[in-house]
Amino acid sequence: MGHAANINFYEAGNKGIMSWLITLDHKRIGLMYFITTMMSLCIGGIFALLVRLELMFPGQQFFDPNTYNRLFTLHGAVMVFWFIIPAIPGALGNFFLPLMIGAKDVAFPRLNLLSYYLLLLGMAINLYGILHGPGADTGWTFYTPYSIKTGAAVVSMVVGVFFMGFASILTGLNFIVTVHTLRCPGLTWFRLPLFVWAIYSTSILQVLATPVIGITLILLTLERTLGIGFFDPKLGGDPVLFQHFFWFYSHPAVYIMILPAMGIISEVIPTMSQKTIFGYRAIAYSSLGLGLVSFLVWGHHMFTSGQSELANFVFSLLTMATAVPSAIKMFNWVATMYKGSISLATPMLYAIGFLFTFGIGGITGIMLGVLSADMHFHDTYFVVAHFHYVMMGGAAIALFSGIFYWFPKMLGRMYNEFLGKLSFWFFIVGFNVTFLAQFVAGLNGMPRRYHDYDSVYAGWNLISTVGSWGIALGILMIIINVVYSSFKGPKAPANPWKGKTLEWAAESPPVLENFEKTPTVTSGPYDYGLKA
Amino acid sequence: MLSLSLNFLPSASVSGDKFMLYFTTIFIIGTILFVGTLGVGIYFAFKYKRKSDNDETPYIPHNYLVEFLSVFGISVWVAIFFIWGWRDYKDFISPKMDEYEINVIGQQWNWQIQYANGKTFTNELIVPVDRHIHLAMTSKDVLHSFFIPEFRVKMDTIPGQYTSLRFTPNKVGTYTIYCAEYCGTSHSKMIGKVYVLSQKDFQDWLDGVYQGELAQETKPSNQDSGNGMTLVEAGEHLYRSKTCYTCHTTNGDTLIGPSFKGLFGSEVELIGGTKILADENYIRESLMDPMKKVVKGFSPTMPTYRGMLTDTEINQIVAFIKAKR
Repeated sequence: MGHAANINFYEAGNKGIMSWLITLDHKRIGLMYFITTMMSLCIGGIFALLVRLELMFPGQQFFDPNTYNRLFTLHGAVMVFWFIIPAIPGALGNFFLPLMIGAKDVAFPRLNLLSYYLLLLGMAINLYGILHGPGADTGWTFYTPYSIKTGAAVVSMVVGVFFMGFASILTGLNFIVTVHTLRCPGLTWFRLPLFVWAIYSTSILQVLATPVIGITLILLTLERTLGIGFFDPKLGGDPVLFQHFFWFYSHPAVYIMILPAMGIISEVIPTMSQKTIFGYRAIAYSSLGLGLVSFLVWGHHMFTSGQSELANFVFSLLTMATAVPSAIKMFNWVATMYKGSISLATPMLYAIGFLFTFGIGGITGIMLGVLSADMHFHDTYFVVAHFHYVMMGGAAIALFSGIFYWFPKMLGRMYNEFLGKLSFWFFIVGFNVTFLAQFVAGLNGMPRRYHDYDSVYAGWNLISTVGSWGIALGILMIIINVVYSSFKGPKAPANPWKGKTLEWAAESPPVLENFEKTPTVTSGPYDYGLKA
Repeated sequence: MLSLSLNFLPSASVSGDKFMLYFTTIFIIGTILFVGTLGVGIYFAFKYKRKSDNDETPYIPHNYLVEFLSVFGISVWVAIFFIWGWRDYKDFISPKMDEYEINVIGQQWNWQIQYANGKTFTNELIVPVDRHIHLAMTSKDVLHSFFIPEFRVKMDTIPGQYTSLRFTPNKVGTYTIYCAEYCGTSHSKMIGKVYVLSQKDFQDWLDGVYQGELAQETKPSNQDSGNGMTLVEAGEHLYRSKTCYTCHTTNGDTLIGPSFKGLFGSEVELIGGTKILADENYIRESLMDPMKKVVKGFSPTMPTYRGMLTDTEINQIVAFIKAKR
């Protein structure tokens, strides 16, 4: 410390709010994404709590059916489009991708800032529809022809999502170019940290898949406003076509959410175990493989839509094939822990929690991919529980792991370990109580998106609602920990976990252009342990 | 008293029994796999817990044998369940010999269930036990999904086209119909009942002499558009009143369009050489969009009936054409 180049990025350059709002620094943009997406998580979480409150007992409790339908729609739309899709690439990807490849910034810093503002613009348009209009009641999937006929504010929802889609495309493009062009000397493709591989695979999906939903939502808007018949059979359209278009994006979008999460886990487990990753290439290739196959399985959302037998055969086969690369990753993470020196600090607890919940999400995913079983499970709470195990128990848990893992680097201070561990136990217990109960309700035939349900499902719904409070307390503790430790936490060393990837070679927090002199890489990213 | 039983939904159809066997198997094997993998992980977390900051760890970047065996094992496991699931599914969707056909129309927010004798019921489906049932379904407005949890089957209903739901009830009793595809305000109130009767009771019910408890509950609804006619009779009536007979005969002679004799279920060759099966959806499409699939050897002159026929009337015409096969 001391000489001018050593001043961290918070202190360097201009100060004040404007220096953040018009910054081109990837770290500041990453932190703005972080704050924005964590606020989105809270908003989406409040909708979720209200939904669970209504479902606590059979019959109408607090909300009439129309209000309830808006609540679950907003819960889904906010969590998907405001939180999970932008959170990991936008916040952690932005902050750490350049650091991990030894670059000063992303390839296109201005485009990076534009992406952030497009996200905000999309959110603002959504908010307008929510606050000044009738809200949306279509579910986050906007299925036609209901979304054409309903009186709710569908247009403001889909136009907002259209802009957020552009934010996603531009971020993906930026990261692809960054990884190709800005790697520091010696950083070959197979020396890239697995988080970088994961973000790279994700970016390809964002660039290729997102335009499809953009166009689809424009078609939906044209149909609603001008009455052009794309999807409504009364106007000569085909309602099932919408589902094909929608899932052609929204299935890859599932991997836009989960691949970066897997990338985080691939960082946390080797470092916290001080062991080299087991099967580096298998994990890297399976990220690309999952990305590719994710384009070819959209039809498994439509097994009961009357699509042809052949389509169902192919989609079911490919869906079940994705179990193989996913299982490879699971085995590799567990094998990495073998004979390690395992620290059970908060990031590692969340990573082990990820293995647990994502394992359940994966195995129930296979059950759903089976055609005969899906005839029963489709559109029941079994599906709801499954995708929460993948989205929340996969993507969100990994995000929390990453937040604690990289907190010292981002803020230059340590988080509170006790509160971190406590948040984990509240979250993981609450989560499993909430969604295991929903598996049981779904197995016994409770359909999803129900404002009211038969009393035979009452017990499991009550348990699920009580569990949701555990999740809320866990997330509240994470937020308190992050906010408190940002200001009051003890100063963090540059490398608290003894990590070997490049971000740990930078100061905590990093200096303005990350490294005082461009690093040179001479070995792989996880060279822990004694080579025999 | 709240029920916290894990599996309280009985099975009452052939598909239901298959599902239970399948699910039990995949659940047990999935649990073993999950507990095995996670158990090892949690065991490692305790066994190799950090003892000091200077612990030495070995360098194990890969082990091809372990990796190959795990990929191979998972692939075999997945392949077995895929094939099993496909076979059960194939059995579920395939048309059976001697099916009992019933029409279903979904609408916000009830089910119209229409029998060959022209009777229509709201939210009440009466079927005989141990018979293959085929529901030819459509929707009046938005998507719905006809779901009978006890039978472990569902299928979406889609405006403007037919979808099929097939099942074989194997236990007499009363079961539930849910709408499983979100359809708006009263989605969760779009509930009906299935009454599975013994074959004799079902025949009595059809003949109007069934004295069981169900008889009071299944009153014909007000929208009984059959006017006492069976579906085929109503279809024949439409065939005359809409003057279909000026172009389509029922005796095999060819006028301006193909004859209805032997049409249903046959393979027809279209202009351009494509061959398709003449099923419910083909007939519906030819009424709504006659220029889309013109049979080879005929000129495209048929006018559209879009907006001129209700879903019920289409069902009646389909039944009439079916009867001429």
